[in-house]
Amino acid sequence: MDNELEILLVEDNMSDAELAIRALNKKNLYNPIVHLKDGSEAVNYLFGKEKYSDRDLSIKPKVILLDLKMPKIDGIEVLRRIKLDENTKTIPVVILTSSNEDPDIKRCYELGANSYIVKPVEFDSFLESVSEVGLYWMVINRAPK
Amino acid sequence: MIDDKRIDRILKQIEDFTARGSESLKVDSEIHRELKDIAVSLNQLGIDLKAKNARVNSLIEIMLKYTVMDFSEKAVVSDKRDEIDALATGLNALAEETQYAIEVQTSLREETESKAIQLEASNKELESFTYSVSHDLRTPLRAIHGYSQVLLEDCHDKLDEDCRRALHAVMHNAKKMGKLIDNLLTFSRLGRKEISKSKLDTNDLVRSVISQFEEAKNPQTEIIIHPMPPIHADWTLMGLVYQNLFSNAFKYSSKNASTRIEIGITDTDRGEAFYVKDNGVGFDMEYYDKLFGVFQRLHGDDEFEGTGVGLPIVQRIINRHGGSVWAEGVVNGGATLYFTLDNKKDSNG
Repeated sequence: MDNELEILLVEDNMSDAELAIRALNKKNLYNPIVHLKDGSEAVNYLFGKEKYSDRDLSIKPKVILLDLKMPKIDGIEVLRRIKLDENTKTIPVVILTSSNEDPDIKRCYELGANSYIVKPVEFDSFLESVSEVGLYWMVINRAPK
Repeated sequence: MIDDKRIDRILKQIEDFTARGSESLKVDSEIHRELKDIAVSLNQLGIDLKAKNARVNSLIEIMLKYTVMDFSEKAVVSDKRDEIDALATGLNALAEETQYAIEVQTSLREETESKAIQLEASNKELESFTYSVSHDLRTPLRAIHGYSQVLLEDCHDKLDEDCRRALHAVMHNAKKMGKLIDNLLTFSRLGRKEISKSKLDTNDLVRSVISQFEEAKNPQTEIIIHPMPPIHADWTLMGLVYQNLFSNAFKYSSKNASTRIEIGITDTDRGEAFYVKDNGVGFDMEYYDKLFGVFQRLHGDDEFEGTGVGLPIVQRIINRHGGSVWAEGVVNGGATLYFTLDNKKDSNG
């Protein structure tokens, strides 16, 4: 197995993050997962700024799981920056959020989100959603070269 | 109106006439004097007419200004107290009333505009509140539910039966609260959602909704759909109405040996009403007031599970369609839910 980064999880809620990682692992998706705690950290990571200035930007995640509501830079803004940048715009972005409010869904798709998943309250459904997304983007989907 | 030029012409003729002597007119002096008197009277009449003309013209000018909402000038009322003065007085009164009506209208419009702005602001506030509720209240619930499951999975052998039962109860309640939040959001969103009405085949609508209840049916279930006329309504929202009514009908008859649900339209003292009738546990009319209250329930959760938002949702949708909803029930004798829609609109097309 190579050391390529596979899944980038941007989630400010530690419980959600832990449960999501557990869900992905349960489906035998032992791909390297990087968890970032908020939007600004995600931006720094993806564009090699501040503490990530030494990061090799040619290593791209196969999928970004992005929470919408985060402090400082929110998910919509992170999404906008990812889709504006030549280097990152082809990375599939899956929006994971608690909000099932329609305007968000529309806005995310307008900005180029690849999927939008409303996190259900039940852990089993959450587990299903997260791992299905993981499986789809890791195993089924063919990423652009 | 006689114009001034014509009057001037006549006055000139009178002047020429009076200048002529009796000889040139070939009349005797007696008749000539009489003619001259008439000429003088005519002259005065002409002068009076010109003066009246001038007054009428000034009234017309003022009236023309009124038509373009210029109320700066008032009609002059002379001391003659003649018909032109009466006209001028009337015109002034009309101008005053028009000005007052315009003021009232303007202030009403301003009030409406400011109300609309307020309403938009409070709608925005409500929307962001709804967003917060849907996001922030669900997040901790997911953690409660999720970690309970982690405990059940990872520590299964370390937990005794009581502990496992307690964890299941935690999960069950977290799930239920999630459902409550979702229903509350649906309910609050219904108040703002735009209604798009079209002509619907009620029979198609009912059949498509009832097909979602296959699981609830059993061989003893009897569903009778009487033919119903088309309605002018919002398909999605009316679907939600029937979904809630069927869900209740199935739920409250689930303890019966056999379920019988009847759907149709009937004459009531409130006009033609659509109805959904079941043979379930019914309800006590004494608690009728609670039936349509949000989060109000007539049954304990151990009896029949529910969130108490179904009928309020139905009521809100029906009200937004200009209709009304009511119910009849007998304890252990079934319940019938009736609703009407805006009849005026239906008959007009």
